[in-house]
This record gives sequence, C-alpha cells and structure tokens, in this order.
Amino acid sequence: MNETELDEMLNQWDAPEVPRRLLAELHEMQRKQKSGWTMRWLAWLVPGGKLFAGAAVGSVVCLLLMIRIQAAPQAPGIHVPWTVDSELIKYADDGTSSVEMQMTSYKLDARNEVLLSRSVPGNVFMTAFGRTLDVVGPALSRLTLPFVVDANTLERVRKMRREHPGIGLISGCTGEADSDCLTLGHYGLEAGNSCIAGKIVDHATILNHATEAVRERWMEHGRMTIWSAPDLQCFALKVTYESQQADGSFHLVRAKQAVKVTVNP
Amino acid sequence: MDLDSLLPPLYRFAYRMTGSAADAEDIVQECFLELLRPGCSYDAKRTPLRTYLFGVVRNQSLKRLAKRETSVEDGSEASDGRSPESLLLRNEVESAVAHAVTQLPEGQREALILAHYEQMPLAEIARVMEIEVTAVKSRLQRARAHLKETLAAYAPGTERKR
Repeated sequence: MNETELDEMLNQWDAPEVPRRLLAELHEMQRKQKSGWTMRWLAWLVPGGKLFAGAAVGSVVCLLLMIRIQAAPQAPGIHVPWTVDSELIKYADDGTSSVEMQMTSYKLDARNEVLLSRSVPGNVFMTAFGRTLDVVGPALSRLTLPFVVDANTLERVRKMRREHPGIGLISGCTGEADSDCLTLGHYGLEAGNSCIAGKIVDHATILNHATEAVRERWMEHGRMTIWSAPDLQCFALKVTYESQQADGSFHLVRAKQAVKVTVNP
Repeated sequence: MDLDSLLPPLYRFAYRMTGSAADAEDIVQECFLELLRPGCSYDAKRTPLRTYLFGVVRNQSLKRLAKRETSVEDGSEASDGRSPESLLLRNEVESAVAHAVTQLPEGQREALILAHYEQMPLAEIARVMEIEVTAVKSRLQRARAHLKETLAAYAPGTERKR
C-alpha cells in the first residue's frame, strides 16, 4: 500500500457532525459571558487583572460587605482537624527565590482545599485586598453562576463531578504580575487509587507525612508536580511549576511548599 | 473566540481519540467550561487559543481512555467504547480504519489524528503533545507504517477473505 492509498483509506473514517444542541449550548454560554455584567465581574477576577480593575472591584466589594453578603472560609461549628501553613515561592531566571505569599489552609475532604488566611509579605494593601476578595469571591461566584452557565450544563458538570471524584488544591498566584496574587488559582485533578490519578513519579516524606507525586501539564510548555499526602485528605504539601526551555530542560518557576502542619489547631 | 470554527475540529479530535460521540461531547463541553472558569490558567500571551484547547481536549481524552482501560480490566465496558449498533452502521473499511486507528499506541494515535484528520502543522502538534517536532515526525511515521500493515487486507486490488 502506498502513501496515497493509505490517505484515501483513512479518509473513509468520518467523524459525526457536532450535535446542534451542543453548539447551541456553548453559544449560549459564550453569549452570557460576553453580555452579562456578572461575567465582566468574573473577568476582572481572572488572571492578568490589573490593579485598577482590582480597585474597582474593591469599591463594590465594600458595598457588598455593607449589605452583609458573607462567605466566611470556615463556617462556624466546623472542627478543623489540622491546618497547613504554606509558602508560595517565585523563582527568578537567575535562580533566586522570593516568598510571594504565606497561607494557612486545610481540607475536610479530598476535593476542597479551604483557605483560612493568607498574607503577602511586606505588602499590607495586597494582604488586606486579597483577604477581602477571599471573603466575597465565593459568594459572588455562587450568585453569578446561574447567569453564566445554563441549568442543563450545570447539571451535566455536577453529574460529571459526582461520577469522577476529584482532588482539589489551591495552586497559588494566577499569573506573573504581583496583582495576580489578588486571586488564587485552584486546580481540580482526577482522583486515582490513592490520591491524584496518574503515574507516580516520586515518593517523599514531607513534615513527617508520606507523599506521592504525580505530574500534570502546566501552561503551554510546562509541567506541575504535586506531592500529595494520603493521610491529609490528599493535601498537596508541595507543588512545583516548571517551564520547558528551548533545550528541553525544565526551569523551576514557582512552588508551593508546606512549612508547618498543625494538628488540632 | 469563534466557536463555529473551533468546535468542530475539537469535537472530531475528541471523537477520534475516544471513539465515542458521547465522550467527545462531554470532553468538549468540559473544555469550554474550563476556559470560562474564573481562575482558568489560559494565558493568551503564551499560547494560541486553538493550541490550548486542543491540549485540554487531549488531556481529557487520555484521562477517559485510561479510566476506560481500568474498566475493561474490570470487564465492565466494551473494549473500544463504541456500541455494537454504531459499528454495524459503518461500512467495512471505515470500521476497519476506525478500529486500526483507535488501536494505535496513544502517542502515535494523537499524532496521526492531528496531522491527517485535522491537517495540523507539525510544530503545533508538538506544542499540543508537549514533545519535540522530531518526535512527532517519528510517531507519525510509525503510525502510518503500522496502519499500512494492519489495513493491508483492505488495500485496493487486494482480495479479502470473507
């Protein structure tokens, strides 16, 4: 068989047309994203947001606080069995590092890492503003979600989440600018036999907790490696983010590193 | 974002990767939801949207295939994820091609689908698959050689045993 004959044979495998319903649903999602004021709010909160936009968000955030919309990260009455203090570290091209943020969080289940507090070293404004966003962000998301995604799609996603258990983690600042630390990135990864699904690339003991590491794609040419502790609801005690260089090697860009685990805080 | 031009290739890619229209639909929907999610990691300055979305679809497809392999070991799902009814509807050659492509090793299958069916340039395939262009070429060559062997019985002028 020559190349042309193979191409002709391969061409006989047709893929079905995109279902019209799917196209309509996605168009509807896109339309709501473009036109809805609620989505513009969310767009300000996503990576790359500028401080100016952040300040505008802040003014309305204060308004929302005044009308007592509250979403405390830790609901009253919940017993937190342990907390983890972590540092979010940024690495420069020359290898030097700086702590972008310090945070304390915990997990009651594998899916959700709950933020208790965070601070940006040496930046009182960012610390205060970030904390305000932490309080208002979840409430805002819940309020706006029905306007952004239609009920059918939401139900499909919820069903998918029920059927595919996930492991959640707070990944840290969402971009390269300082203002990107205003909002924290979250990842949801597929659960495996122990913690995250995928090939285990390392085992390590971190702060006296056994962890197993898996690797995931990060950005265009990057990878993230996540060390999860099965005995801490698969809490990610260490996460590294590396970008691939032209020569194929990987350069450490960011990391999240646990520095203290407190039992019965 | 031009949905009308982006959606069909992503859907076709997911379909040919998983061999299932239902999975393809879920994957594509999940892919766009990921893009609209607050805190989404997509950075337009670093990656063209099309490349990013193909990468998301690829990862989701591989995860589903991995899960399906586990299910097959459990004996709970058909080996190629397609219903016998849908297979019957295909003509013989189409069915053979679909089967041969879906049976290719993962990396070869991705390279072949993106290059042949989506006409994607090698450099873009390399970015989607996160490998070097030379590795894409090599996988593509191996995939085509493999297919020539498995589909030899269906080549024009070949008499097939019934």
